[in-house]
Amino acid sequence: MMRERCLGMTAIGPDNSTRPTALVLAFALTLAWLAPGLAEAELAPEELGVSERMGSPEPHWTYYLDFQLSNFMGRYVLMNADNADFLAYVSTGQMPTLATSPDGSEIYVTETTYEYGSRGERHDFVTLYDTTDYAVKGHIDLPTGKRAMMASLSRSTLLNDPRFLAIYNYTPATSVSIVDLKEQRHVVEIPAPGCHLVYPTGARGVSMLCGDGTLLTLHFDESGALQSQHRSAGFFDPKTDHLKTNAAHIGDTWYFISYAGDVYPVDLSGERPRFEKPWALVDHDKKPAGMLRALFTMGKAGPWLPGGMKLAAAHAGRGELYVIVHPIFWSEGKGDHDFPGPEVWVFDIERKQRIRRLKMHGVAMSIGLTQDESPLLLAFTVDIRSETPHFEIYDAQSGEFLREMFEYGSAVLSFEPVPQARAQAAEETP
Amino acid sequence: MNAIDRYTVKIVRALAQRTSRRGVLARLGTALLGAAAFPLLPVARAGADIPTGKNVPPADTHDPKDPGNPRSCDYWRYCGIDGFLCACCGGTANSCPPGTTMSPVTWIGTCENPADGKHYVISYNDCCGKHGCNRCFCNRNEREAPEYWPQKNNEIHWCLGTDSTAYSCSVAVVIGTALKQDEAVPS
Repeated sequence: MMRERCLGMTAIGPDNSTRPTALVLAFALTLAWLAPGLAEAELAPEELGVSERMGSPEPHWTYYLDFQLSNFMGRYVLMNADNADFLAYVSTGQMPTLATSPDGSEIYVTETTYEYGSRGERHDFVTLYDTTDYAVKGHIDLPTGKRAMMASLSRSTLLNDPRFLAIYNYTPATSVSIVDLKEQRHVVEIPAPGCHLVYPTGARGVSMLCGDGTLLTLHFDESGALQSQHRSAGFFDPKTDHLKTNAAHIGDTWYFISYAGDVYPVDLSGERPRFEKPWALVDHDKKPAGMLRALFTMGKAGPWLPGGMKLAAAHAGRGELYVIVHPIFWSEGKGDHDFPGPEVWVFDIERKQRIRRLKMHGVAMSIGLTQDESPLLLAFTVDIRSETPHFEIYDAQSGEFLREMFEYGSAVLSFEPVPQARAQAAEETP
Repeated sequence: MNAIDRYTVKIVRALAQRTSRRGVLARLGTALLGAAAFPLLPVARAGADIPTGKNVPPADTHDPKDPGNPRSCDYWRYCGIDGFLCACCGGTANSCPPGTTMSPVTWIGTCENPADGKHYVISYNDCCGKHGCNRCFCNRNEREAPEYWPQKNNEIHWCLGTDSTAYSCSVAVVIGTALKQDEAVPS
């Protein structure tokens, strides 16, 4: 068609053809000569029904939870922090949680829906996705109406034996469900009175935070059945200071941040938890600045306290802990543990010392960190003046603001690193 | 509240009284208000489309013993609330919107009533049966505790024991006066 149209133009038209000038002739001949070339440049018919597939993950790829406040449903989005681009997503039911297989080949979303939108039978289930195409790979029904509907990110976890997924239930009676991902079935529900949330422990177990400041550790056998349980000694006193349950971790060592600004490291690699001595993230002896100084520094003379939603992240290779902090001058000392902060403090875990202060553009509610040698810090922030939310990306070393992701969704609650194992495996394959 | 907190509040209040609407003081005021009025949890008021109730017509209790605007996050009895205010959604500060059901289980907070300076025990019940009302989102976390003390935690979706567990909005019901400001909670 295009070729015909092009040739048609060379004819110029009957009126013009009565007095062909040399110029018109030359033009016509040129077009005629060009026409086959033009035909070659035309668009070939495209294939219908094509869906993209994902390549190997890159170091700065990250998942984030985009949460809809109006219906508690959400999405897990895969984005590339190198250019703030949107790569893939899965849509979820209410109050979802995410687990990623250690090799990065699958993700597991635990979620809830109702038969008729907001009513009818409630369905609680785990959806398995293949990360090469983010298509559904499996579905496992959970006992109806049991999984905990709350904001905490530690409501599900893969065990260190990644065949099993543990899910925390709250009805308000508390229990743990074990799901066999290989056989795609719910194996068992173990009551856990007074203990909450799940953190992977030992070869095939979970630890739960109990209201009296202890940990309950449950170990399961190769079939997923309960093998043993153990209640630890108290490692914090909830009557004097509380722990934020959205903790950071490096491998099996978890860093729980306390309301008062201490960090409680807990090693969950063995059969029983091993508690390390808590250390301070903030200067507990800091006295409030005088009014003039407080005013002059916009309250940043301190004291400071940690606060936020996903308020901490850790970098395994560098041994660093990142924590959102705010001056209590801003919070009036009220609800500090959830109060967003204008700075992220970076600590050398080995030396238990603050080594950098990263200044955010707004106040950060949640942060994430890539795990490569040139890590990026991802932050969900709110601009104080305009009260607009932003998804920002910083250089985690220099603190330099790099870029912003636009049209990310509604509200970003958390960031989850993308395992790099699949990329490494692909590189190692000759 | 510890001594530092009290001192801070004193400074802030003193500052607030001196704050002009311009210049550095106003900027500080904005910082304080902006940060205090904002996010916080589970979902913070942080989406571009998240309603803060800023332009919702106010209501008034018309009760000198219970002063305030129940459609405002600042209303005294909302000191531990986290969710949409039912008073903006067809209900009131202590009743559910039509067609929704109040959850029988809940979390408990303690708030100071400015009218008599007494601390009251507040039951923060969720109203259930429809999706979120999506008006007047309010999140305050005073004396709020983590999930391992669920009775003091405001991040739990409390529509339990109702026909539909869909979350609509939250109410704050006065249960009685508190013995102390910070009641110890048995674990």
